[in-house]
Amino acid sequence: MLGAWLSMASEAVVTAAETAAPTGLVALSLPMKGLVTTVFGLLGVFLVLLLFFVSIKLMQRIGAKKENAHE
Amino acid sequence: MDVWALLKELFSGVVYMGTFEGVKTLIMFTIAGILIYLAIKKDYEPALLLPIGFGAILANLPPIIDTVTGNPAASVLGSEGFLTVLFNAGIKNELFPILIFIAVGAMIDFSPLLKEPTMIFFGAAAQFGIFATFLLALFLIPNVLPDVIAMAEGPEKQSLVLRLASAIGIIGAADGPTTLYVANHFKLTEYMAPISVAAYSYMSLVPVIQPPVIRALTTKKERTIRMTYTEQRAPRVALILFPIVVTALAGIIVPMSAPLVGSLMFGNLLRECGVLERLSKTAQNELANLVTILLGLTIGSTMVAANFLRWDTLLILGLGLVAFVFDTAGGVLFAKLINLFRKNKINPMIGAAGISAFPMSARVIQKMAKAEDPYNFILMQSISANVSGQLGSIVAGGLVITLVGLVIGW
Repeated sequence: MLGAWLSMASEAVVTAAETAAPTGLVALSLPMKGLVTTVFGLLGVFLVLLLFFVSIKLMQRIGAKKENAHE
Repeated sequence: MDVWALLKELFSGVVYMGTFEGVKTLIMFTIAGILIYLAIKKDYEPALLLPIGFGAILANLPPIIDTVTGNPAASVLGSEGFLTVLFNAGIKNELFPILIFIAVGAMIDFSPLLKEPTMIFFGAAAQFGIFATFLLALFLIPNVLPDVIAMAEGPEKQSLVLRLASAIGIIGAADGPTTLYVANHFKLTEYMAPISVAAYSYMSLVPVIQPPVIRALTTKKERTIRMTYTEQRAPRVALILFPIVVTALAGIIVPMSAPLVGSLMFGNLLRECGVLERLSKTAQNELANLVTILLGLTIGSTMVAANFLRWDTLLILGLGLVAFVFDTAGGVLFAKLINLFRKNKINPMIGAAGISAFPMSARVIQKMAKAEDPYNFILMQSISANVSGQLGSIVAGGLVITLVGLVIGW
């Protein structure tokens, strides 16, 4: 039951991603395409590196705990 | 038998050099000679510039004409030439950039970054130049190169402008493999030569390009800001977890960056795991050396006169330099912005190390800091920003591929 629901949900997501989003973006003018790429690109880089930052902070904690346990 | 025809065939290379194509060949030989000179005499990235220069000489040798068909036969290029074989085996399928990243990953110590994780944001800020130049290129390409764009038809025109602009923007990251990866992904084979030459030569010109930009944007007082650092290494468990977590995160959020991030982090895991020293050393030395030779030679082979001696080459080289300057400026200005809100000020020069040219950029920043104040030591912070730049440029490359792919409907 859960398996069927999951496969249905993932199929719907894939179909939506394949059809809806790209067609809208392709129709944009060249400067708008450039702006979309720039804004989302810069935000994306900051977002991904922010996630790396959070994961490093977590790893620092794990590392510190391990070292304390050793001592 | 006609003796003249025999002589003409025997010395076809000499005859070729007397034609207009021969003059172009001589110009390419001169350009190749400059690259080799810079490598040997000026010591600018000799491991790359020398093979590129020699590859360019090989690629521009007069073609061997098949006497039966009249077509160029396999020499170093041609469908079965060894440089074509290398190109298909290593660049066309993106293998060489991936292998180089395994080697680079094995060379990088992420410990300084794990101890000062705030430096990671410089790796993001210094990608500003990629996107600023991308926008600039979108405006310039149709206006400066109308003939090139006119050759494409319908929606392909916009697609070509966007693909070319993204590959030019990525040059600013000073990350050769990522630049090649993006250019290759967007099927810009025809532009591969100027793009890769710009990426690799600007990488080697970090000591020339970055200092004036940094000096123009900072005061002497800012350049002498001192920062504290403790020598202790990051915990081993963190160093081992880092490459695994980063690969998983990048692979989930920006799947297009996964091949590059994955190979970089695999190399780093070889280094940090502590049980594969032999493999780590192999990746750092033999693999790095071997792939550098093949990569350089193959990039050089794309510098065929017909693809290189064009106006778009000048535009690509010019915009590549602009991207590099913008990236440096983006990092420095971001550091100055952060300083407005911080009690413990950051030396803004560190922001410039957020580009990918590792470890050259970090060294340049330390050298500049030392020139201002002989007792100022900011190398470790610069290295933190520099390794973040490696990550930032790969993520930016993956995002550009994804976003441009979406807007052009690829």
